[in-house]
Amino acid sequence: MTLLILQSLASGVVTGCVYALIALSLVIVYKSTDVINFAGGEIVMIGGYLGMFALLSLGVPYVLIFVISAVVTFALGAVFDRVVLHKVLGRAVPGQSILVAMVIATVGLSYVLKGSVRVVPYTEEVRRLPPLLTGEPVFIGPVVLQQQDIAIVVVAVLVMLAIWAFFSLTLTGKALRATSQNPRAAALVGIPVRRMRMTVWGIASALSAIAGILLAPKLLMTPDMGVIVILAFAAAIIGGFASLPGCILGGILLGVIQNLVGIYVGSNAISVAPFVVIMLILALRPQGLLGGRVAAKKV
Amino acid sequence: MSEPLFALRGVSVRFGGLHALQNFSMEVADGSIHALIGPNGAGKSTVFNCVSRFYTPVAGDIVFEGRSLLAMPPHGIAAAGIARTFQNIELCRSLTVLENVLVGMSPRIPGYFPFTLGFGRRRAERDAVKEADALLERTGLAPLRDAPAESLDFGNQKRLDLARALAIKPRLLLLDEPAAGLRNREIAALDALLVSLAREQRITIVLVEHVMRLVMAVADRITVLNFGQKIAEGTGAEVRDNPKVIEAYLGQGHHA
Amino acid sequence: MYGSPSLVRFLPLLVLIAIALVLPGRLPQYYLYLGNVIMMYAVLAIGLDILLGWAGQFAFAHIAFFGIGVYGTALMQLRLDLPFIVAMPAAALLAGLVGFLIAIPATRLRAVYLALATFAFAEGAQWVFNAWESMTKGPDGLRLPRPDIFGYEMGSDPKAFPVMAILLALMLAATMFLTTSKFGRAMCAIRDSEHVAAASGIDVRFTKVIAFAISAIYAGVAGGMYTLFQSFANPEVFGFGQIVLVLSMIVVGGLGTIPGVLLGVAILGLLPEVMRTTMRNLLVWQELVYGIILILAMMFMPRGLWGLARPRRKQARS
Repeated sequence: MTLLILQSLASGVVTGCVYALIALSLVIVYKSTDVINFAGGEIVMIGGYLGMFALLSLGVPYVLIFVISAVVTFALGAVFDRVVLHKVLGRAVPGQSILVAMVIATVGLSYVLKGSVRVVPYTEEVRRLPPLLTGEPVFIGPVVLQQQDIAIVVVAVLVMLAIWAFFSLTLTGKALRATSQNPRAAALVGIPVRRMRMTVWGIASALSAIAGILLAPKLLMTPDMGVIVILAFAAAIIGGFASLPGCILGGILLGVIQNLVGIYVGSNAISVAPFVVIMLILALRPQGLLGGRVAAKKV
Repeated sequence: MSEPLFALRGVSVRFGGLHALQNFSMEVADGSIHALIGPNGAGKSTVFNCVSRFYTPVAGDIVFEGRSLLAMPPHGIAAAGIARTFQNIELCRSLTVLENVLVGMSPRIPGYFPFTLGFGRRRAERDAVKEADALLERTGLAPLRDAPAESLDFGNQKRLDLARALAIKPRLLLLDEPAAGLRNREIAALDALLVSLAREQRITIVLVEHVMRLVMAVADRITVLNFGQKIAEGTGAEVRDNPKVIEAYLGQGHHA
Repeated sequence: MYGSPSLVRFLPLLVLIAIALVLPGRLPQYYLYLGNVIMMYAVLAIGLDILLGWAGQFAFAHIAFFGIGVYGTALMQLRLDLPFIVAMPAAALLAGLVGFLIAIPATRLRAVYLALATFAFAEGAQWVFNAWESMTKGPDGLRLPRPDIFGYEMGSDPKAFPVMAILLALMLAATMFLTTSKFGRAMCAIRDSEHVAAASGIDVRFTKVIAFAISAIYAGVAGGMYTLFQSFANPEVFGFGQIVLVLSMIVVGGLGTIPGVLLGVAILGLLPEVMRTTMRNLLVWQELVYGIILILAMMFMPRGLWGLARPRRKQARS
């Protein structure tokens, strides 16, 4: 029995890392722009398809497909922000939260992405992205993991380190943090707020794309893959929707919870587990495990 | 010595490590105009927000007509007879001027069940509208009755904020920087209005204000706050010459 | 937004009912079906608009209450032998009760969390509809009973059409009363400024909870309407796609305005059908077109179509 639990923990960590990446993408968009990106899942899907196309049809080496996919989706996200969201923001209407319009715009994006992928003849055939590493499974103590799983964790950790370094150590990263904390002050000190927003969207999209390539070998590639985003939301909420460590913690916890639910409750309960988790956390501790205290609003 | 109509006793408010108010006490006599002044960030709006029950003090009590306000939820304050305006002019921007006043009048309009047909509701609404129109006359907003609040210019928005507060027929009126951004002519009109409200309609007024001219002209009593603590209290003359007050303002002139 | 709605306002409703009584003999069944669909969506959309457009609460549990309305109405007839005329209001009230209970914890949450929590609830409800097979027959679908009112049997589009119109008219009348009432003003006040609302003596929490419950009742009624002309109920109908559709209808049409919402319902409700008949082999483009419409609408029509069609309210100068 303990072996089963350990195995669940291990594979939970693996999937959790991917959830964490997607959660991170949602959180950095939210923290910078207050927008819930309902297209998050579709960007994951696009990233996966781009990677698969590059690998299978263009013959690009596996390692590079991450780069290609990330770059293309970076541009996609940045353009979406610059063209669509910027315009929507400028049309605030009193008596109506601008967030409604922004969220619907992201929903629109998700349908555009899904729809575009569906009409492209390339995707009529259902394909699978081969894993990054194949070969003999690896034993860590009593637990068995595919080489692919190790690869996933390694890539995810590298990406998260890169993100952390970017936000903490580079000038652009610090400027981005400043913008998300106080856009008006940031604008006053000369930070180009609009460009920062675009960058945030770009980075978030690139993160999702990488997650998509990591995730794709485990799933069947279909345009509907985007529903995975609910798991990322759950992970982000567990972590407090506020920080990188929160996303990591939330992702891993969610991955583990999913496996444990599958074992102890039943496999058909797995799909509802994230929703129950979301409701429980928001009912009992809305700021999540690592979110700070909610500040009193100045009147 | 009669009981003050309204008093804060030993009120302390903390936001995390920040002491917004420390052991603050103030008494306001019935029918008087009391001013609360102090440099920016001194904690003046915090006092109002405690009375509105948006914040809860960690210590002390707030008493009105002999009852503690801290036992009430935020929506009970209006029903108790206390109205306020907001420093940032919070209005219902998508509603018209008339509708804003009707919102302000809510506790005095009977009945909540919207599906109550019959003459009760029709008459109640008609009376409410009539009264609201009268109030708009008195505050000079009548021609703007059906304009959306967001389309009003600054001065009229302030007037609307005040009209909304008056709609409740308050016993105590809290005004948060009513003169901010007003031109001299408008300040004089505000002066006259405040005096009329206090003397003729017996509304007790507490105002947070920076415009010293207005404060010196209308206030019966002034309390001075700095860094969340009371540093002086008295009549206009007493406060003006108080060295601690002068120091707090770092030499800003405040001659009437 | 005050006073009682004048009797003149009710005339269009009577016209609606009159038309609905006359049409079934004259239009082919397909158009009557479309009409039924639109009328049901109208009630559903207005219900969501009350919560989102009037009270300003960004909550997505609506579709779960719709499901309760559908399954509740059907199962009360099938299992409890209640006639439709009792089952539907009962199911709607049940939906309202669930909405009330959900709202109590939910209204403590800030906008983002409220949206996510209610969305999670809706998805959880859909899972329940799927999993509770003994009651709902799960993914296989529940065969809906043929409802009748005092012997007038519905269950087909022409027969159901007038009843749908009457129900829609009733709900529109209720909406007019609601929005011109003190409660309607209270919802708007909360939407614009919770501080002003609280300082004006409005119990913000209570108003939000009641708005939730009322919105849920509308969804429940829409659910009952669904059973009037559909023969199967399937959990697929109560998913994320549906809530997005209803949300789009009200935002594209005109959030917070009744005519706007109706306009949005008509356009986005008919769109799939229009596309189906005109772009027969391009069905797969549906999602793409839909997404583009949403994006363009948000970029260029923040007040919705109704906001474009109608000039800004007269702006008086002081």
